[in-house]
Amino acid sequence: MPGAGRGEKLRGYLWGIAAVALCTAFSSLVSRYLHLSQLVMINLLSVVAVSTRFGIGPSLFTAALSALTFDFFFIPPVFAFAPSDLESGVTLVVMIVVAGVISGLGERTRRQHVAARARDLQIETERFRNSMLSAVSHDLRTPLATILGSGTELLMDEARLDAETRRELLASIVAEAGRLDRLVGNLLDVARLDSGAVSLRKHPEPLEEVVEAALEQLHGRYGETLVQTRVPQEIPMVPMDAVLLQRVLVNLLENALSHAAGSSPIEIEAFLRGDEVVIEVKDRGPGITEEEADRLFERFYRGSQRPAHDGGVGLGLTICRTIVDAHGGVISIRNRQEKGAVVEFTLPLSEKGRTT
Amino acid sequence: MTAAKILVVEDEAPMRLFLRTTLSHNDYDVLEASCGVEALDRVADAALVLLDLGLPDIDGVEVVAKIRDRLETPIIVISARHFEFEKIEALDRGANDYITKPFGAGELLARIRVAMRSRRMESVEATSLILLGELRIDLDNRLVTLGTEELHLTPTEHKLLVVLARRVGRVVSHRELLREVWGPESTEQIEYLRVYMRQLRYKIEPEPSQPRYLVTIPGLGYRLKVDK
Repeated sequence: MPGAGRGEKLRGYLWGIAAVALCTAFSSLVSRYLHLSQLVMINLLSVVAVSTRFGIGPSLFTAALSALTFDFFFIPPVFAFAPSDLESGVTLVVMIVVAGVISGLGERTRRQHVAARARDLQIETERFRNSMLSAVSHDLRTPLATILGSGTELLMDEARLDAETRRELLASIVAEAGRLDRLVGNLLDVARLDSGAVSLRKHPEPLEEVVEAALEQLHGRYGETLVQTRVPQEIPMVPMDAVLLQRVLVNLLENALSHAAGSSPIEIEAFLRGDEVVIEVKDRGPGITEEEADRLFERFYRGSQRPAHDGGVGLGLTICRTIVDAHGGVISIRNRQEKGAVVEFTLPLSEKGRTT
Repeated sequence: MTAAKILVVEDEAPMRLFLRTTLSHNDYDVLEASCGVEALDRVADAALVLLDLGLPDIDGVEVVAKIRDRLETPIIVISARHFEFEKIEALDRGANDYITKPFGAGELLARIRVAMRSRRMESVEATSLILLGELRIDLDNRLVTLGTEELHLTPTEHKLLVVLARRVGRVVSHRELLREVWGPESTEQIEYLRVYMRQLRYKIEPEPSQPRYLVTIPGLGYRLKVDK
């Protein structure tokens, strides 16, 4: 693997030594029952094993090592390097050649394997992009259709519409525009995260400020719904990308809001657990079904319990997971004991997170 | 009382239409400018400036600086998502607040009311007592009380609160706070600010994630809310 670096190479050499040792040990156990040329086969296995998994360096090394040990331990005179007769000499030469060829072939197979994997990934990305484009264009057009339709109707028939109808049309224009804005925001985030262009800008941040910012971003959207928060002072500053974390909280809150029946409260609670911070967003909605607990985080998967006119595309939780993952945390969803769902995510306090 | 004049600086006509309509139906007089030069030309008559940062001629931040050279008129900056950096600059150069596109009429009017009110509070130069709900800041006697309880603030926390109180209602940028509290050479030490601000907020607010007084403006600074 490119960039696998020294550690990986060193591992290859060590595996080579181990494989040769193993083959030699096995050969010495069975040497009295087998012919020299059959023992060669057993010893060549070590080269096969190493060459398919590691680069050309370790596999040539293994080939040379196995030829030397084979010569030393099995080719008469035993415990010496120079072969005593022509037959043994030929066996040794053939072994060296075959070992070399295996190394070369192994290297080629390995390369093809890596290339094939890269191709698969590309196809997968391509497929995703296509499904994303079709989902996106549909979901962008839906609110646009309402806006354009209602707008033109107001323009054409203004005089004939009664005040209440005009109000309704206008209200739906405003609501759909808001939906469009949120959708575009989410899509931009997905694109940013997908392109790998986002380097996390991690700094120690006060968690309560990020919670505050998320609530502020949604202000006016939660009308009657009471949002209770608890971020105690004992929680230290948390290393995070505040902009992205705010997005996580906004998405979770939006979900909770769309499921909050009537004016049932939503709670955000943060607490310490070991060397991580746990943040929970809890609602009193219908909860989730057992089998979708994991699927909910998949792209474009939309929950079975979603409200009828939910304008989502099924990206919100996917974005949350991507962001939490990148911080070295874990996100999960479960039902509450009484009623409703809890999404819980963790953020490590120490910088062990992800190193790649 | 004559209607307050608001200067709208915006190069996009549909946006100007929206702003003009909203403002004039809410009893403001509207002056319009579609570029920076026009804005500087007309600003003298305005009681408040609504300034879009993406102007065709002069950089919006420059316009803020040029206005501040001469006048104390409150400026609310209108910015789009990708003008994050300019927004910080604009606040640093003296803009009072910002509003991000897209926004609704209600939000716009609320921001304007806040800016106008804080202007009035600021203009009372001799003010030594600031009352915000339950919070009482007595500048002369260095006394801060919340309800009936006296708050024990460290000197740094107190200084922070005073800087914010003197600009009540305005977004005070991180840099401005650092400069005023720690001195001009400390303007990059945002970590200090975070730590002290946190302590201050936990002393003043029962639950700082839903603050009543001391509001965070993410990535930019803090604001002491004007009483409702």
